[in-house]
Amino acid sequence: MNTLPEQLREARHQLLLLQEYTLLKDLIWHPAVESWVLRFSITIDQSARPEVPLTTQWYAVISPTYPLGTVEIYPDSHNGITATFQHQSLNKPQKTLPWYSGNICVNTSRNSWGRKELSTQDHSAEGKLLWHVQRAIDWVKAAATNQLIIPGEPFELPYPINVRDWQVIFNEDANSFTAWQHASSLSGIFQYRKVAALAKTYAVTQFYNRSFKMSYLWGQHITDSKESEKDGIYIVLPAIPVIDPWETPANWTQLFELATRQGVHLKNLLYQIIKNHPKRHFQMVAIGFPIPSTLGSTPGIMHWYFAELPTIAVPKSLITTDIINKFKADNWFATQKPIQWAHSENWNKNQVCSRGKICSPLRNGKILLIGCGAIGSLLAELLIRLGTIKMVVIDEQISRVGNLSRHTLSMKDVRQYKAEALSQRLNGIFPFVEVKAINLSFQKAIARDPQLLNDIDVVIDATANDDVLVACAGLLTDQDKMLISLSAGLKAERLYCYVANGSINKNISTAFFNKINPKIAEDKQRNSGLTIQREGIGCWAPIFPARLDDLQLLLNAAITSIEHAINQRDADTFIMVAKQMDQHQRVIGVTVSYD
Amino acid sequence: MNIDSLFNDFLAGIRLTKDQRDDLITGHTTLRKRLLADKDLAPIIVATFLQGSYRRATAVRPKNGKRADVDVIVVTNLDRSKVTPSEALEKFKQFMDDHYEGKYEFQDRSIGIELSYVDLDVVITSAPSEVAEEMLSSRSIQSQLSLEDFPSTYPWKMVKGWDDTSIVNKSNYVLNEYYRKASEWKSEALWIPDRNLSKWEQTDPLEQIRWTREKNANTDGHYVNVVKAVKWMRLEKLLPDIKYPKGYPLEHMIGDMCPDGVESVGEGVMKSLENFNNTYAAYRTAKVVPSFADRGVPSHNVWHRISVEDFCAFYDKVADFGKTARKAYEAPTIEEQATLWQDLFGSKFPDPPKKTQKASAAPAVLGFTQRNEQTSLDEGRFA
Repeated sequence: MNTLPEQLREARHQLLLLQEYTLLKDLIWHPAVESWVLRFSITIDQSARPEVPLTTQWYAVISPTYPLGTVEIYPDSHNGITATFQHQSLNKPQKTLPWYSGNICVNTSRNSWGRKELSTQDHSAEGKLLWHVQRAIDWVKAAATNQLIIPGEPFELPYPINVRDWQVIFNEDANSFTAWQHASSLSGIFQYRKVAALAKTYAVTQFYNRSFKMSYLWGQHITDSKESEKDGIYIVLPAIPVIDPWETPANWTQLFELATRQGVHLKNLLYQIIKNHPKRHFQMVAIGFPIPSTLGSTPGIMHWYFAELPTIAVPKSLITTDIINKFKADNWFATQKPIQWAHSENWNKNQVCSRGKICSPLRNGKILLIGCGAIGSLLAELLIRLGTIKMVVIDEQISRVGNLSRHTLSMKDVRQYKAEALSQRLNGIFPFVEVKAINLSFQKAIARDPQLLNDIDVVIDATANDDVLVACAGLLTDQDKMLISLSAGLKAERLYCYVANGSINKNISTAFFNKINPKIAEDKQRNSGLTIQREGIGCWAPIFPARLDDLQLLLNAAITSIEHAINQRDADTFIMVAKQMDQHQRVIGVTVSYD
Repeated sequence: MNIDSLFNDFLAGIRLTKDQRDDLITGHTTLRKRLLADKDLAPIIVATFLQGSYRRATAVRPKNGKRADVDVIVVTNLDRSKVTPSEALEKFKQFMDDHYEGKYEFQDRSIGIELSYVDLDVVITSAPSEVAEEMLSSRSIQSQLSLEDFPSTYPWKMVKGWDDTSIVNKSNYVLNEYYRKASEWKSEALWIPDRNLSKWEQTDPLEQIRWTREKNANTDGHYVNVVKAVKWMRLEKLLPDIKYPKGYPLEHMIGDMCPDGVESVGEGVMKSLENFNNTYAAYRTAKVVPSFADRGVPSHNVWHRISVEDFCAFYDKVADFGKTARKAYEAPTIEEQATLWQDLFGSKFPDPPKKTQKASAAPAVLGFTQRNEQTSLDEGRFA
């Protein structure tokens, strides 16, 4: 028999101080779940919900490493609660355990449920168990009086169930929501395809019926995919289908009942569509419904659930298509047949990039990046992850293994064109990214396509090549476009960023060289005695002394200054980022100065 | 108010320690090995096994650094009609000199051996019947576990083929249906030598274990804990003035007095004490010591060594304790309950829980609390 850990001994006595708590069975070791288990009851004095009796029984399941590890609270199988509420896992009986599966007060990724004083979890040995049971009591009281969710709280979907190991991604935002408002769009066919290089992931590409069509604007990675399109049936419901209070339907009968209550005869619609498209090979059903961002606010975005329509073995005796299809449908939607829900996610850029976005001109404009070397690749990676969607990358160089110490590419990209390899990498970061590559020098690219800059909003020169700068300057004069030129000084002690507005600045080259030449002279002065060898035009020699950490340090420090300059749209701004080091060559700071 | 958690901690503090348990098992195993290797004794040994309060899960750890003791039975095939009690015990003298010189002592009915952490009390028996021989060699009797080691799903049973290996290995806690339903051996009294009286006397330790098991089952596992609690109460509150009853006689009395169906150790203690006072009020008045018939040997009075003075002094003290126990059991707050139980059981009974600052019950503002990006996250670290 396991011995009760000392720290847990005292902690459970603290529970005796809670008024609503009554001990039923003291801690015992439960070998099946390798935890200490305590059974207790919670008694509240009022309840507006029949699903929450005044006295309910619970199990606390505690890790043997207490106070490390978890404390989870589950409803007793016989005298607990059997419904699934918000802020609770799916609540169902479990064969070999005396408690249901719905553990309560589940912390979500964004919010922790509970009273303000408990918003910081207590990790101390004497307080942790008490904290969890106190929250459980609060939860029961809130569930009983319909206060588990409050208007203004972020909307969270119910716990997914029956989830297969594959996922379906869609692309919805406020704009697409407007398109869905048309009455004719409520049911029809949708198409989806497997996403290359991603395990078990499918992307929805479009929805349509006789009078409506909506295509998702995905990036290169998905639109370039060679995978074939598959068919599914979509139905839009007026609201999220949940079994009161907050449980996802587990079988088709439950789903049909929920839809009927919303005024949608889902089963009929599904049969109808199958009948009307006898030759289609439907493999999925999509159920769409509008959801709000916060509770109580008007729904503003469409969310989708996806269910598999598995392959059915059809008896050879059935011959006509109609009969075969009805046979399949009868099988798919049989009474109480479990729904095989897939994992589904909205991969719209607004959903995905919410962690931190770069300024609007760089996010929403189309960017031309000239130079896919060290600085170019690092900057491109930053911009894409910060929300840039459209980019063209230009470089005539082939990637070599020596580049990799200061680059975002990898071994598999060596001997490929840097631009090409980089565009593939960037397109693989987010599904809505469109990066195209031109494997030529800037001059040759312009010569081949003089219209190249037409739809470009921002040109970034990351070549450290004077000719390229001059060419850009010329092309941008009197254009409503911005130019950013970046290069690092000797030993990457300094990074020079020049931001110019083509519509105002008539002398971009002159201004640029006036500002940068003195700095370069200073660099040389400081480093007299240092010999540099350059191989070819516009590229770092392998022996050029600049480390990845220095480049990242300086570049990252420059981003906000570049953003500011882009937003200001002044004639020009010269930003210098410099490393500060002590006498032991340790980096002790970064300074940013303007000219 | 269910304060099982406080009682459970108290009990954990008065049970034998793991070291004491290990030592008594090792002590017995070593003794057995040596006996079976002894060329003179091996031929007369039928079996050895553990008996006593350890097996019955009613043992409490000794106070003040004294050693725990465990009772061992050595079943021989000596014919009691041909061998006197003194002769039987004499046969072991050489063995004791060989292995336990300076550490053993011949007593009236047993040989006491001192080991480092435990004392062995070795009782020799004469030949049992053939049926009993088979039973005495079985795993049920040979098991070195105490009654508390067995969960309700895997009870100790005196059935042929019953095994405790899966409990020892912690691998399986459910007893096969067959063994659950099978009828048990009827235990047979064993004859042990009484040198003082120069006669063989009967004893039935297995019946005592079996009886205890049943009583424990009828009290939802509380009975053995009630016994331990009362034994501890004796150590804390009756000694040094009132020494008897102690040990098995005390346990036996609790066994008779504790009602079935008690729902907590506290209730069991209270009712056992009150019942004793109620049942033997007339005896107290008449100054007559009650008798208690041994479980397997009804002709034995377990209380035959208790004197009238002992009985009266004990009775009066129990009356006081019973009152305190009732006050404790019925006290309205956890704090009062714990304090009163501490009066009876001493400092091994835990202090009542004190409110820490975090447990303050401010009125709740229910609902979600949004994680503020500015304030530090829960643990103050983000990756």
